[in-house]
Amino acid sequence: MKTLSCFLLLFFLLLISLMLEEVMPPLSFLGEAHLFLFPIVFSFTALTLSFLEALFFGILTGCLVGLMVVHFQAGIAEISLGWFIFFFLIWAFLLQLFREFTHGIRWELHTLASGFCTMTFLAGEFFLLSFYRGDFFINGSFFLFSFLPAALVLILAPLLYGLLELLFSLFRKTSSHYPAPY
Amino acid sequence: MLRSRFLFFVLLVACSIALSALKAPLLQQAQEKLFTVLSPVFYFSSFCKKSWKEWTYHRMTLRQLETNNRTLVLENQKLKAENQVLHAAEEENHQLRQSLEYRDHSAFELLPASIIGRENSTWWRSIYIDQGSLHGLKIDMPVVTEDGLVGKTSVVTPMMTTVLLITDETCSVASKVEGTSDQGICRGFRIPTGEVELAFLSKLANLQEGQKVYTAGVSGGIFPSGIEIGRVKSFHLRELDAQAIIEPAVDFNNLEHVFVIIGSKQ
Repeated sequence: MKTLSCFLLLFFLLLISLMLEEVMPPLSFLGEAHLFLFPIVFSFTALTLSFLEALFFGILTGCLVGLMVVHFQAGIAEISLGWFIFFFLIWAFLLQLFREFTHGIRWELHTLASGFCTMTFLAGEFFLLSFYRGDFFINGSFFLFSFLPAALVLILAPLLYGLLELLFSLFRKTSSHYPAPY
Repeated sequence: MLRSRFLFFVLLVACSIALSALKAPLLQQAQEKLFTVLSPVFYFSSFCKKSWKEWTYHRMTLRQLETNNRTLVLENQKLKAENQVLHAAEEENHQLRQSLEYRDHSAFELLPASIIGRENSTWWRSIYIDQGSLHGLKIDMPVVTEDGLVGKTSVVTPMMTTVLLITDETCSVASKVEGTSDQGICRGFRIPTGEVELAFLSKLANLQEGQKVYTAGVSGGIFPSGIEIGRVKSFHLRELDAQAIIEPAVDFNNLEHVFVIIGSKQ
């Protein structure tokens, strides 16, 4: 029961983060960069939950993010839903592996994972779009628009990690599923 | 244990790859359903934003209000002066129209809408408005403001609609340039710059900075003729065609209200 409520709460937080992103305007002082919150919640979840739960959460995140992001051109999805699910499954798997290497959750691991997840997500989207639209180019702006949101996430992740840790300390007292951080 | 985990992971990955073959209409329906479910949240956040704005406005100090008032008085005087000039121009225009037996040009039926959200995406640019299929909106309807063209409707749910902005790479608009016979295709850039490009211009074209660009209104197209897109910022010749960079007439960052063209008055 505790596991389910924890899972549902994290899913609710993921939804909130996605909604918050949609209503926040781009940051004009940082070259119209967008602030991404969902990689922070996703990384925390993938590190906190058990293996199967993390993978299942990866699938749900992929479905949700994919449905919110995907655009259609002449009745064809520019990026398929499968790619989003695949992406978050891989990250959930990797984060579970990293957690075993570091013998638990570390805030540094969560921060780095959130940043890299954001960067690879944006870069992956860009490459797939380029393949779909039939022209491929990489310039300085591409790196700027992939790195800048990731850098913002790197700054914000430790703060949100602290808040999420505080919230989930309640679950940790009663369940052995969620390893304590260092 | 590790092996079974890995096998399970591989199985899920295979499933996700299989999901890539999901038919687009099914996906489109799922997206519409998701937006229908989420639309109350967009409405609520938009309400919170407005309330916050009003609250901060009411908390303005006397000094701020004085400055604000002075600016508004000046703006009012300026608008009055402009109105005088425009009134004279309108008179002249009316006489000319009468003499040429022109019909009333602004023949669009407009539906006002407020912006309730902006897509948090780097490579796509769209906004969400508070009108949907219940208000008569359909896919591919032009969206404008008093300043110019905003974009077209893309995903329509009963209470909410996604508007693809002209700064998006996939929103192509047939365009013509003021005072010339040059025509081209306006579209945004994949990497956001806030500008749009006017491509496929003739190599003989010679556009000047500041020239206005309007929709060309091709038959069977989405956008009616004569809506301002923006002004030419720069112009250069390429190997096969010429290209101009256009500064959009609409300030997309401070956009709050738009109009959807739902039909013609006649």
